[in-house]
Amino acid sequence: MDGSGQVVQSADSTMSVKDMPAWTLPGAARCVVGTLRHVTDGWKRFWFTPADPTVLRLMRLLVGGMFVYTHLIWGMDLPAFFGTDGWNNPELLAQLQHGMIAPSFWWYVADEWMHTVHCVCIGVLFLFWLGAGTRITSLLSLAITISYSYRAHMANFGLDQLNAVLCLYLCIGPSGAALSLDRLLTTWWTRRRVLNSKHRQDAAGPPKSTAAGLAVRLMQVHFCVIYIYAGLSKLQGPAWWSGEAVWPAFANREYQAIDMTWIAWYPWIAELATHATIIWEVSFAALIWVRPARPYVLVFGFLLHAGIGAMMGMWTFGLIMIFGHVAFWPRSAIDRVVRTVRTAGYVLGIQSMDDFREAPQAVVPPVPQPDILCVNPRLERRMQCLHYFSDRGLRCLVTDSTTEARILSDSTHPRATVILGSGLSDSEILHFKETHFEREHPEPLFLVLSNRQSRRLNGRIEQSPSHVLDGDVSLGVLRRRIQATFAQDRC
Amino acid sequence: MDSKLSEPSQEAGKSNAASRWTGRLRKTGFLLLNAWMVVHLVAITTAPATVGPSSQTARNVWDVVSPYLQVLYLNHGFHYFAPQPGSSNLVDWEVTRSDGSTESGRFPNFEIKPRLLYHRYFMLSEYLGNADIDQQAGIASAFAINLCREHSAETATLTTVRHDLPTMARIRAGGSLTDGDLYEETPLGDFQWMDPVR
Repeated sequence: MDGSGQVVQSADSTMSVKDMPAWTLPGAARCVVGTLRHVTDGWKRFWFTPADPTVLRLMRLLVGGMFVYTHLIWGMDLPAFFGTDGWNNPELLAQLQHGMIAPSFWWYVADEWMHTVHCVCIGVLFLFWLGAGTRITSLLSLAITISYSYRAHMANFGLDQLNAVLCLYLCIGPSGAALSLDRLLTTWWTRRRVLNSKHRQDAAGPPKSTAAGLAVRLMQVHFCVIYIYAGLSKLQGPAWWSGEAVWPAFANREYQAIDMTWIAWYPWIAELATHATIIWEVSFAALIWVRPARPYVLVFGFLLHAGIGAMMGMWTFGLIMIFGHVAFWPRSAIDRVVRTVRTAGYVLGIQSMDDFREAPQAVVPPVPQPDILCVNPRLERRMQCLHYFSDRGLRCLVTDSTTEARILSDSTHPRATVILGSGLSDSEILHFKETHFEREHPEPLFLVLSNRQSRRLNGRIEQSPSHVLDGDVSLGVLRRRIQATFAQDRC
Repeated sequence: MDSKLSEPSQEAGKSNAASRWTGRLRKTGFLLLNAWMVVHLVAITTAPATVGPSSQTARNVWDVVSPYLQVLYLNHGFHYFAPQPGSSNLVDWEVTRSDGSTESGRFPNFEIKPRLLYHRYFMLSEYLGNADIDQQAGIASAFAINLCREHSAETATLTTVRHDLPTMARIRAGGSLTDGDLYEETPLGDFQWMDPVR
């Protein structure tokens, strides 16, 4: 029995479950278990991959500013919007919100306390914006946003909905991990505690966090839900089909911020804008996950929402939607914005110069040259390889992606790299193989492919100079092939 | 000697038990987190699906998840400008004080600044204009009370004004967005208010 072998002992023979066809009971069970494992692995990878909280901290700055502004505007006429004898009369709202759970601390605030309570709320929102006590102020901000929205029920619109949605996810992730007073205090305290010490990594920026990854994913998915319904609901209206729907928006005097009636002489512009809006909204949830299409989707989204802001005067709504798109931004764009914000923070005196400088690299002990670098997205498979090769005296390094494998390969120079193809796409394997042999001194590459993968890639992968092993290859066979290659190299 | 030997083993046993418990707790926590995520995803996708026309299944799921959505203020349809943009609603008002002096106005109006505050007023007039007939009286009454309070008046007269949208052809023929015939008024009545303070 090899390291990877699951064996079924019978009276006369030893037969691996892997060898059994799918129509047999053990074979079918293997297929089902394999599929379930694939699904659960994908679920875990999608939701729980640790992410840099940079996205969240930038969103806190943007969305937090919007919270403060939104609530400051409420404060311009508190008795009208929140008073007992205001527009939103509590008795009337009790009828309108009948059967609903409408939690709001405003129900319990007497008119004479309105301004005090409002000032406290603004203070809390301001602290959240600055990133002070973010864990607590984020939750309080959510409570404030929800409370104001329910109490001023009749004066709400999309901005309030999006405020609540984004605030919820900023509560889940560490949105105050950086560019915040919390971070400033932590850095100052850490530096004071370990001045000139070896714990320099404390100052090297916030670590990756599963909560950050989860919060960003939830935002992304929620925005997909918003756009898919916004698009599909429009398809019920004939004007969105005939191309006339954008005209009423331009011709609505109450919305109008810029005179757009000149479009009446160029109806094709209105029609084009209508069709483009519908196509974009309906396809957003699909195209945003296609990496090459993502920048175009986001640029169109920016133009659409900026257009809503400029032409319909709904700047706040347009901006909050654009802020939500930050959850989809690539890391490089976020880094650029964060750098600008940090510079501004330093100029304003709320960011320390030490934080502004390049963070010192963490002290990492040198990694000895590994014998084998194994690549497979499944944690279980990677652990299996790690244990198997380590138990047999081979130093093994494992990683879940070909991108990281390339970095590890360049930095640690393993004696052999093994791509366990299951779970990796054909294009990933092909790309890795091609780039692998473009390097100066590539180590031997072993590609372990399933029968299907092997058939699909037939003719597209050359056996030489890589070593292609297809079918159900056990780790034992793989090890012997690798060791034979090492022996040849020595000769 | 025995006791010395047994002490570390007891310690090790305790730490093993503790780590087992921690492991179990982590696993349970992770399962609960996943369960919440499934509920959350179902809930946020159900909320917009229940905006009519909707299926009985969507409404049944809504019955289960609506408390969760309402507590977090996630109970939205996101049907922006759907099924299609239409005319807008304004409110004309006139208040009369005890000395017989009157004051009148319309909201929203472009004198309300900043734009977000203007939009709040616009939403109020839209709410009134689009409300069911049986709800409209109650809303108008609340609006009248606020107007009387703001202007220290005793009676308020309210009218909803529907502002229809001109066609492209009309604009090309020399029409404008504010042509008089595009406004349709519906009187809501007179409302009286006695300020409890007075």
